Amino acid sequence: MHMADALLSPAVGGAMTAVSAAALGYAVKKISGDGMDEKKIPMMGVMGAFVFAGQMINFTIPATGSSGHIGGGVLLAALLGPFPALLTLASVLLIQCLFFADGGLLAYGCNVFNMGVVACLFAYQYVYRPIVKRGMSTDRIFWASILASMLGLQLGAFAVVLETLLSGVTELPFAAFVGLMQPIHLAIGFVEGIVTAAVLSFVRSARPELLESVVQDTKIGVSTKKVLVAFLVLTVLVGGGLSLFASAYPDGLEWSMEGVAGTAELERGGAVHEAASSFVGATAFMPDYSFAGDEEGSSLGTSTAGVVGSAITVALAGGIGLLIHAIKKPKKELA
Amino acid sequence: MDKLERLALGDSAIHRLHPMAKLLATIAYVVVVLSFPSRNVSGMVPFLLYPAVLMPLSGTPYRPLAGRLLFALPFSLVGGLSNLVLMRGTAFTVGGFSVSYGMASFASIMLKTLLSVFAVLLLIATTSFAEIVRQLTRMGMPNILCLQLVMTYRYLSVLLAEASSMFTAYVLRAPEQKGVKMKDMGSFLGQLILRSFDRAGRVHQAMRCRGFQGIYHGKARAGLTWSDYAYIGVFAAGLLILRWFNLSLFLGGLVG
Repeated sequence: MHMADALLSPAVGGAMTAVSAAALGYAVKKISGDGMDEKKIPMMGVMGAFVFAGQMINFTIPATGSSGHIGGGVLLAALLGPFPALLTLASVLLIQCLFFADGGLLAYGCNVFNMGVVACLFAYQYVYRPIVKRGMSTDRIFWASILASMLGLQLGAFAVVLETLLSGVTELPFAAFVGLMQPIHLAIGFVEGIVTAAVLSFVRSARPELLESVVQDTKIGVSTKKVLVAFLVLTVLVGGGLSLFASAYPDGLEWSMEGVAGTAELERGGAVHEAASSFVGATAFMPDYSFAGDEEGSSLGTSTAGVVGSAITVALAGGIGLLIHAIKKPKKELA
Repeated sequence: MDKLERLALGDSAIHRLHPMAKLLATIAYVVVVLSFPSRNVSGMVPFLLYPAVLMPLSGTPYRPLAGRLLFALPFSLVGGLSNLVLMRGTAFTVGGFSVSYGMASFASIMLKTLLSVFAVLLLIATTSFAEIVRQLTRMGMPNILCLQLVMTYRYLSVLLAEASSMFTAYVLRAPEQKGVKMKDMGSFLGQLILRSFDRAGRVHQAMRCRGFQGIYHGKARAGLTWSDYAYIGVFAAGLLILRWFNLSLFLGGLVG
C-alpha cells in the first residue's frame, strides 16, 4: 500500500504532508503534554524496529498458496496507545522511504496518513478501543482486531485511490481503481486482523497488564468533538492548499503546452478543475486534454525533435557520467 | 540497507557537502520532477543529468539503487499500464512508428519513478541518517520524533537479527516450508514483541545510567560554507532552467 512518487502531483503530496504533519504534531503534543513517562521513548524506538523485523517475516496464508506480512498499525496502537503508535509508524515509514525506496519522499505525507493516521487514530480509536474497553476477553480482542484492521485498510486503500486520482497522473477510471483496491484490501485486512488478534491474545496470556494499561489509559482518549474540528480545519487546509496551488500556477498541463508548442493553451480551470475532472471522470479518458501539437498542427516536427533530442540528452548524461567516472578512477588507483 | 549505510560513510565532494544543502536539493528536485505533466517526456529527460553526474562524483554504484527501484515499481506500473491501455489515440509518429498518448505517459511515469527513487537513494548514499535527522530537527521537527527516528534506526539491525534467528529456529523445526504458518504467527510475533519490550526496558535502564534525560545530544556541525551555498545556487538555477527550457527539444532541433 506504500504510494510511490511517480503518480502523485506536488499539490496533493504537499497538502497531504501538511495534514500528516498536523496529525503528528498533535500526537507529539499529546505525548509530551500528558507527561507520559519517558520510558515510552526507548519503547517506541524498539517497537519501531520490531515493526520492521515483523514485516520481514512472511507467513503462509492457508488454502491460497500465497504469503503475506503484517502492516502493524492496529497492533502497535493496541500495544502502545494510538499516539505513540502513530509516531512509531511515521518513523518506520520514513526509514522505509529513505533506505528502501518503499514509498516516495513526496508521498510520505500520504503514506503516514493512509497507514498511520487511519489505523491509529480512526480504526483503533473508534473500533478497537470501544469494543475492548468494556472488558477484555479473547473473543473481544478477536473481533475488535479483525474489524479494526479491515476498516483501517479499507479507509487507507480508499485514501490511496482518492490521492492518486486527485493527482491526475494516471488515467485509471475511478470505478476500476476502487474495484481493484477495495476487495484486495478487504482480504488483506481480514488476514491482518486474524494475525493481529493472534498476536494480541498471545501477549495477553503472557503479560495481561501490557494490554490492559493501554486501554484503561484515560489520557490517550480523544474527544470526538476535537477530532471533528481538527478534520474540518484539515479539510479547509487541503482545499485551500489545492486552490492556492491552482491559482499560483497556471496548471501543470499549461506548462507542458508552453514547453512543447511555445504557447499556453487558454481557458483551463487550473489544478482543482483538473483534479475534479479526473476524479469524476470515470468516463473521461481525454476529455479536454490533448497534446498541444494537435491544435498547433506542427506535432510531427516538434515530436520528432523531442524524441531525437531526448535520445541525445540521454547519451549526453551517460557520457558525462562515464567521463567523470573515468577521470575519478585513475586518481583512486594512484592514491 | 547495510550497503547504503556504508556508502554514506564514504568521502567525496558530495559527501562533504552540508547535509542541509543535500536535503533541500533532493526535496526540490523531486518536487520539480513530479510537477511535470505526464505527457512531457522530453522535458523530463534532461533531469537524468542529476543522477548521471552525482553517481560517479560520489562513487555510488548503480546496483544497490537499481535493486530498490523494484519497491516503487508495482504502484507506478498500475498507473502506467492503465494509461498505456486506456489512451490509445496517436500522439505523433516518428519514422513511421506511431506513438500513442498512453505510451508517452507510460514512459513519463516510469521516468518519474526512476528519477524520484534515485534522488532519494543518492541522498541516503551520501549522507548519514543521523545527519539527516539532525537537519530535520533544525527545520523544526519535534525532539521526540527525532529520538524516535534515531532509536528505531539504531535497533533495526538488532531486532532484525533477533527475528531472523527466531525464524531460523522455526524453519529448523518445520523443514520444507516457506515462511511461518499463519496459525503460528501469533506466538511467533508475540514472542518477538515480548523480547522487544524486555529489550526496551534494558535499553532504558542503560540510558538512564548514562544520564539520559529525554534529549538527544549530537555532535554539532559547522554551518553552511560557501561551497554549500554555491551548490544550492547552481542546483536551483539548473532546476529552474531545465523546468522551463526543454533541453531535449533544443538539441533535437539543432540536429533536425
